[in-house]
Amino acid sequence: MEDARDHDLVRRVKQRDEEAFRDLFRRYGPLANGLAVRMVRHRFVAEEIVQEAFLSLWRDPAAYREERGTFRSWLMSTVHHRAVDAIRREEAQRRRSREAEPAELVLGDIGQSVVEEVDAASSRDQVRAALQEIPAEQRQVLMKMYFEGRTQSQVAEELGLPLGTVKSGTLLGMRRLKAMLLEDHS
Amino acid sequence: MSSDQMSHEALEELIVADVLDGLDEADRTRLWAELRRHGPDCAECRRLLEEYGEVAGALASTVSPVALSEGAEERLLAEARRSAGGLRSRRQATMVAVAAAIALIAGSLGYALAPRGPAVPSSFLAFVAQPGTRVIAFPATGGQRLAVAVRAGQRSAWVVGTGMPTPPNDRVYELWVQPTASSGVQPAGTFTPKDGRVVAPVTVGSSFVALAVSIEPPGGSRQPTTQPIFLTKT
Repeated sequence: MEDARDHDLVRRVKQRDEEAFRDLFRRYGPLANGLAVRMVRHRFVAEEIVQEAFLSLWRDPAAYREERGTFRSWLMSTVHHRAVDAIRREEAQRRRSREAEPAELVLGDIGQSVVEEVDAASSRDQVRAALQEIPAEQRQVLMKMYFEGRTQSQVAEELGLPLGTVKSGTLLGMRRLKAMLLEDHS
Repeated sequence: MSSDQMSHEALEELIVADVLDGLDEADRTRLWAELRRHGPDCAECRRLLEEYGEVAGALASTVSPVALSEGAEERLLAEARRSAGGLRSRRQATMVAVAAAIALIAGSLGYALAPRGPAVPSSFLAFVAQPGTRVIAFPATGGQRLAVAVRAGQRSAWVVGTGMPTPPNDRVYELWVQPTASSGVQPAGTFTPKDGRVVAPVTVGSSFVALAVSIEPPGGSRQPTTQPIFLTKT
């Protein structure tokens, strides 16, 4: 149902329908922003990432192909790529800096601006519950990669694990999540 | 699938990491080479990419949504309209400059110091976004952080800071440069924080071996009259 609505909106965006574009932004902008803020931990940078992700859809709506998955996943992936780029650029700069103090979080007013939607909250609870079902080490590996923008080598180094363990943990964790999130409901 | 192609089981191990943007570069290159070998019509490859892409997308839903700033929607639509009218490149260039500026400063000193919002001078963003810009950070003092963005061969530079108290009695901070190890220091410009933040143009000379900051009388001094509160060698 939701996917069908998204697909309709994207089709209208392809026809340069500004209202459809606005609807998609209202629908997914806050979630995309939540992901970007969580990753880059800087609201201004996060918002730029979200704006660029939506503009990339406007400029090239064909980049999203509905036969390859949901719009929501495509958008989150687009935001994620850009956030990872920002994180890795920032880390490269920090490595070059002589003063490598940990970044401070700029999250002061997030609590006031959180937007809650019932269906989104339900989905969130389901995924959070699924994450709790996988072994802690696998969960830690997945979270570091996804939310902190780490590569598998970096995760191995930070957690003091063999690279092979990180790779197998990624595979097993993702397989388990897939089983719980996709296959149990198909 | 031909016998010399990577198996889908092996591909799966790469795909699960790739959808999380977690593959190391060599593995990523290997993955995309293998995907090309399997071809765009390989149903199993497509299935793996789609399904694990959905799982990664589901991870995003564990975060709480965060409202965008006021006016974000109108800014986006205005830009989309400009984009359709062919003005995309200017917008993109600006955004790239802003992102680069923030990454540069945030990367050197932490996100707290990164400039943000409309109050940041566009000339600063333009300066710091240029290739070759380097950020020299002073050692942090308590909550005070200060850095100077410079570019090789250029006299103009910018000082940026956060958590900086306002000096009493209309006094100002003054930046000093030491051009060579055997020379004395020269004034490079004064600045005063606003709400603890500093983004101010200074003039540092085309090369130097040390930077310092002291508190000076209004208008600045020709030589430091107080002990430097920030000092760093370059």
